[in-house]
Amino acid sequence: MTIAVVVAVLLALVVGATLAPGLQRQRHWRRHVTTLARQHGLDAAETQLLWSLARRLAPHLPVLVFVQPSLLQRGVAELGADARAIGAIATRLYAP
Amino acid sequence: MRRNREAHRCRMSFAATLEYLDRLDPPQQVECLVAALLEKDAVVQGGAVQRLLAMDPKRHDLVVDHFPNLLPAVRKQLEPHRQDLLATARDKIVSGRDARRIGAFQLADALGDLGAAELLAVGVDDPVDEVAAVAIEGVATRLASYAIARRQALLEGNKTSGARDTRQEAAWQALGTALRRCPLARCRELCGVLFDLGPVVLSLFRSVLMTQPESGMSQTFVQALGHGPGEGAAAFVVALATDLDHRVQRIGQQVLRDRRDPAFAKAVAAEVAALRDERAVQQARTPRELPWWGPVQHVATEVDTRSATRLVVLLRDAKVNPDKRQEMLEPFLLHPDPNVQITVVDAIRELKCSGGFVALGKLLASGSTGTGVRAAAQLVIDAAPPQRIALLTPLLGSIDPELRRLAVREVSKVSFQHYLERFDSMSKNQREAAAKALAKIDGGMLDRIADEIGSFDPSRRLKALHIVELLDAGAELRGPLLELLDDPDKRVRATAVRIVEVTGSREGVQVLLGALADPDRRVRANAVEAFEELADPRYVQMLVPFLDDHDNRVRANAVKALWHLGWPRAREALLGLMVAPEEATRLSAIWALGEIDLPDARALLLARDPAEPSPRVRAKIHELLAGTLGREVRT
Repeated sequence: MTIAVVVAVLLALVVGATLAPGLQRQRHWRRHVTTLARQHGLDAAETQLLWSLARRLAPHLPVLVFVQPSLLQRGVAELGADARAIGAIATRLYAP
Repeated sequence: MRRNREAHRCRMSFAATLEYLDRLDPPQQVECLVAALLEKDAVVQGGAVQRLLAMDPKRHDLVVDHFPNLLPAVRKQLEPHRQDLLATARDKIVSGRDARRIGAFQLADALGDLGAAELLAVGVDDPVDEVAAVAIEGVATRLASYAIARRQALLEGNKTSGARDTRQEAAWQALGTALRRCPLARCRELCGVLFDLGPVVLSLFRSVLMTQPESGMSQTFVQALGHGPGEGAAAFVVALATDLDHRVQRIGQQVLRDRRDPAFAKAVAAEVAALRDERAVQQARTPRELPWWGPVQHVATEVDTRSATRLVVLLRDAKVNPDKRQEMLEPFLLHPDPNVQITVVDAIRELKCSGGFVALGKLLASGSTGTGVRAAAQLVIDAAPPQRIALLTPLLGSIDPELRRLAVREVSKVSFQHYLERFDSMSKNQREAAAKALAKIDGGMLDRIADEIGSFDPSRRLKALHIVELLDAGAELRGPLLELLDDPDKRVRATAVRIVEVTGSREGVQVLLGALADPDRRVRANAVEAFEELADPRYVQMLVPFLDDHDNRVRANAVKALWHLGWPRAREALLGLMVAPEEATRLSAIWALGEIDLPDARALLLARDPAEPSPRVRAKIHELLAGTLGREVRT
């Protein structure tokens, strides 16, 4: 029992140590995405939609969604995102 | 509240997004900007470009690398940074085989001026086809614009159009590089440039033609000379054929031998006519060295007047035998401009028509009119070939009166010559009938007789006088006949004195007076008769001494003339002659008695008959008594 608990704790520590930087990086990018989305006037739902697309289509650099309109189009084409909602977001993100 | 929220929602632009990205690590920021450059959205691309250009100059290479992706509107935004970007592109191009060099070449092509051709020429033989295409097109476009500017300057008479500024010189050198390196597949584009620039480009290209005759550029160029636009090709072909180097000459000569289309031929004619360099002109006179005649002969009638005239002069002086020269000249006889025709006729005249009259005959038979055809007709008349009548006969029906006149005159002249040749073998009646028939068809017959009167041969002058007599044309030809009164030949003088009409001519009378003292008896006799014709009694005293002339005919004529002029002692003088001791004198006296209307002539003859010792004189007396008072022909 004790051994099992110890093993579980160690495993948790290993998993935690492994996942922690990723989670931290994810939080870092989420903060940037959220900040930019807010500055572009996106509401919470739009921001969530944008983040989910960014995370899946540009996981290493999610802010690319703000400079790559084609990513949003891929979101619609490949991930089945709501085209209308995406169109509304794009209009605001890439305004001159 | 809702309005404020909307305003808040739209407050940020894309540019602000890019500003926000400054907070990222530089590699992440750059990755974002590069990703933006790849988007086909002018706002996104433009924002990224501006951001990159505002960053460290080292980031300019990203703009250069991604230039092929940039939208036209974004490319325009690069103009303020043109110099920096071109410098970056230059570094990329000259530094070697940069994997993304296509961007540098495209940027140099898009933003570079004429001088950028030098940079672009580096890529002419690039193994990447796209790079080579951009490079060659860029060079070709620039040289084409230079060619247009140069032509414009030439048209405006700009004497410095031949000089090149720095950029033009750079482009010029680039063309030289491109010509040497151009791969076969791309040579056509450069060939177009060569044709745009014209033969001036040979200073660059002739070394390629000489040293790399099998290169793609050389082969494409020679093919274009054979099939390309006639005007451009002709300028090159003539320049090549007159080049100093024999290898280059042969290229031009070969095209001149092979190509025959009219546009090319006419352009060759204009180019050859425009040659001014003495060496080139000498070559043009040598058909073997400059076989321009091959194509031009087929368009001789279509060449402009100025060029045609010049070519005729070149052919006239060509270094071939006169027959061949005339053969080359003859096609120009049918040129529509009379001045060209006249020049050709003059040239053929200089060649003494050594090539014959076939072509001249074709012109005369063509129904054409004008000064050129007249010149040709005159040449035939002057050269007088045996077939001249056949050549001139078509002109008898010409609508041009002058041509008709020339032809009629010449055809009649031949008839007149035939008449003269046969004159001596004809009877008097035949002579008279033929002379009158000729005079009817030949309006210029009197002119011809006048020419004969002026000939050196006395027998021809004599014949002419006889014809005057036959035509009773003494009055019309009085001028020339008066001169014959003083002719060195006594037969001519005698005949002239007989037929000349001197009434009212002081000069004529003076000549007649001289004839009275002529040593030849026939001249004196005829002169006496001529004074009789004047019917002026003032001449009586002048004629009286001739009653004592030693020639019986002169004495007989004198007594006859004195009778007709009313001299009271004429009868007495005649009776004296009738009993003269010489038989010839008595015979002439009997003849004179028959020529005057003496009332007792018959009684005088009857009285003399028994006393006359000479049978010849008696026979003459009997003849008169029998009423046969026909005049004798005295020569």
